[in-house]
Amino acid sequence: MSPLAAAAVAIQDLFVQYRRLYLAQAMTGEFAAAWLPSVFVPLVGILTPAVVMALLFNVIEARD
Amino acid sequence: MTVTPVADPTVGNLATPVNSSYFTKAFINALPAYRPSLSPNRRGLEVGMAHGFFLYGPFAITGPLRLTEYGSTAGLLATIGLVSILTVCLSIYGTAGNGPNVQPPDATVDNPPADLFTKAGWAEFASGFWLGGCGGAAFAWFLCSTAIVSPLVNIAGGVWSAN
Repeated sequence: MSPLAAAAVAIQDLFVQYRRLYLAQAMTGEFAAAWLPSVFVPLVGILTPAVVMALLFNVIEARD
Repeated sequence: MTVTPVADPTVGNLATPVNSSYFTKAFINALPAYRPSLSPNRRGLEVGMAHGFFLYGPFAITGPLRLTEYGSTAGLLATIGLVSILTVCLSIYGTAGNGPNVQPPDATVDNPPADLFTKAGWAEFASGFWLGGCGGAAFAWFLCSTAIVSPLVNIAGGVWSAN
C-alpha cells in the first residue's frame, strides 16, 4: 500500500472515531439536556393538568 | 321602588332595586346572553368579540415582550391562546352531565333563552365565542397599530415599562 493510501486510511479512521465520539456524546447527555426541559416542563405543568382537569370534570359531572 | 317577593312570599326570592330596577333589567336583558331572538352562535360571537377585544390590551401592554417590536404580535397570539382555552372550558361545560344548567326565570330575566341552555345550543355558543374572540383580538391589534390609537398605547405602556 502506498504511503498516500495509508495516510488516507488513517485519516478516515480518525474521522470515523471522532464522529462516533462526537455523536455518542451528543446523543446522550448534553444534547438532550439542552432541549428536553423546554418540552417537558410545559407538558407536565400545563398541558397534562389541563387534560386531566377536563377529563375529571366530565367524570365528576357525569349523571348516568 | 320597594322590596317585594317575586312570587311566593314563603320562598326567599325578592325583587329589589338591585335585581329588578328599570336600569338593571334594561341592561341585563340587553346583554348578548339574554337579548331576545338571537341564535346561540350569534350570542357567542358577540360575547367573544367583547372578550377578545378587551383581553388584547393587558397581554400586549404588560406582556413579557412589551418592550420589543414583537409586543403587539405576542399580545395577539396570547389573547388567541386564552380565548382558545376559554372555548375549551365552555365546551366541556356544555358536554358534561345532562348539558348546561337551565337558568330559571327570575326577577331580572323573565324568560332566559331556552335554546341556549341545551347541549347543541351551548356548543354553538362556544364556537361562536372562539370566532368572536379571535376577531375581537385581531380588531384590537389592528386598532392599536393605527396612528390614532398607538399614542394611547404608548401612554398606557409607559406606566409599566422603563421607557
